[in-house]
Amino acid sequence: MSKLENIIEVDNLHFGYNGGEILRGINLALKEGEMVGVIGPNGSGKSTLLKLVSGLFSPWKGEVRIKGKPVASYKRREIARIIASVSQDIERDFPFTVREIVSMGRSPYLGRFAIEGKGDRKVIDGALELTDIAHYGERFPYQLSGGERQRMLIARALAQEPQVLLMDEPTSYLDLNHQIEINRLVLQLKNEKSLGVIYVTHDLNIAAECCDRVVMLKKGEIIAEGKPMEVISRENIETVYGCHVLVDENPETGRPRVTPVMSEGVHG
Amino acid sequence: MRSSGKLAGIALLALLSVVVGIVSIAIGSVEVSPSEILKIIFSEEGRGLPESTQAIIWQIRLPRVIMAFIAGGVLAVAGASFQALLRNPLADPFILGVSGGAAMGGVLAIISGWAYSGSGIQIFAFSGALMTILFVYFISRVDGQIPKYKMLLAGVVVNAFLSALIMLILTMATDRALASALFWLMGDLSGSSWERIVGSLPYLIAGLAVLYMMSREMNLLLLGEEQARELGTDTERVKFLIFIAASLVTGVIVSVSGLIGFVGLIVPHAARLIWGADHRFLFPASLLLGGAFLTIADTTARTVMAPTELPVGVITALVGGPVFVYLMKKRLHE
Repeated sequence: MSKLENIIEVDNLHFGYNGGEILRGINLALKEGEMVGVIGPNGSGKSTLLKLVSGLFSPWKGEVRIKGKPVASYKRREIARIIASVSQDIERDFPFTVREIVSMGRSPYLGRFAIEGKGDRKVIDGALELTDIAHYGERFPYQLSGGERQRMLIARALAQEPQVLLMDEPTSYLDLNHQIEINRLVLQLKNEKSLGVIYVTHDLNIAAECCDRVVMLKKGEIIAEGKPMEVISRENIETVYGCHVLVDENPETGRPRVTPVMSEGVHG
Repeated sequence: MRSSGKLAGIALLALLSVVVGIVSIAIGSVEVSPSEILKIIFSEEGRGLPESTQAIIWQIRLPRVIMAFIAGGVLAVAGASFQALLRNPLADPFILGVSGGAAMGGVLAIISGWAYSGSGIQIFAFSGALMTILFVYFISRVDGQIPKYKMLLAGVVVNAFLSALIMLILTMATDRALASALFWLMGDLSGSSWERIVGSLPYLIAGLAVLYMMSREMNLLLLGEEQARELGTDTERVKFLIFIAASLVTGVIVSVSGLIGFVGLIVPHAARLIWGADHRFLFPASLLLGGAFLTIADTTARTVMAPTELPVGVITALVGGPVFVYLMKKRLHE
């Protein structure tokens, strides 16, 4: 192992549902403070991969290791102290306040009858502050905007004091400024708390800008893996998505920039 | 509302429950004043009152009020638990078939005449409930998991099947047995006794303790099973325990009081409007609110058309429905 140890290792992973195999021979590693993007068309197995990493599903073949030990050897509580997931959204009518929902992130640390103690409250306050929703603590999810709800889910994940964040299209329902805001927050957390992040997204440009490495999936197989510059190329995108794009370099960051090309004649 | 406010509300509700209890004991064909009741229960002076009054209080009204309170409270907590387990606001303690099984057992006992010997009806009803719980559990289990839709469907089908069987049995029953069975099916606390209370308490306490231990997990279950697991919950174990504990306490209550509807469905919703959805507060609040509500309903049932007693289930729905609609409207306007 390298000097920075892998927190997550995915080793020749195979998995499927009744309908057939979804993931075929996936290999992946994640280190502390590293952000890995997972991109690919619908049905390529991106979200399924996250669920295997967090142990929600058991693999058909191969295995996922957390800190060198197979996922299956951990209890749910133990996994929840290492890995936190941020989903796309939460039910708008969810009947708990923002603070109560964020407090649920402490549950992997609480005993059977224990309620949140001083230490827990400090973590919860910290998570609310960091995501800038402390002033919304007593509000309900339906009183928040989509971006604020997303920050709440990130705050709940932070309350778990995890080492790894799994994010499944966390910005797909958000408008541009909220997208930028959430992605900035994730980058800040990654750097300040040395979190490992696996980031599933449909947005190739966000993957290009934010991720240290990118994995491109097609029909459950890794087609390309490496630095954004190596993976997000015209050839790869045409192979995987089957559509025409223009890829150039963002002059400010030097990262690849993808522009879809509509079929000829659209603009008259 | 802050936790301290919620706790204060629960304390107030507890106080109110005691008042409801004393007033309910006082009401009836023989008028006894609240101060006389307290004397009879708590002090030697009560010995001065007529023997018959003492007997009415000790042997009839007190056990009945306590049984009503326990039944209402437990049904409300079981209802809240099933609503969390199935993540379905229409769930009630009877949704997974416990009621059908218990009703089948109870009706069999009444029709066959065993109901009139000792605690025949309780034993039959409880056995019926237990068998149905196990049956529903085993038919809804897939690969060691119990998906909520499977549970719901299994419960609904079992309930429908057993209702049909009950109808079949009732059509063949004598008039006297039919009346007795129908009354029991709509909820009947007239047989309450210290013996029944003491006999059912150990099961109820065990079941409620398990449910209360699961209260934080139930909050997480409301997020959906996937998120609950991601937050560290062993959801299948939790669901199994909730299912068994809530069904068990429901079976015990049905066996001593028949099928009292509405309490287990509506009281948790009413408590949620006031105390919020956090089960750590919702459980004690539902227990007290359900208890007080059924105590009032049962007192009404036995007095409003005295000497004829009404089935208490009729009162819970007739009174509870409008009260709930009022609460809901009021809350929405705030």
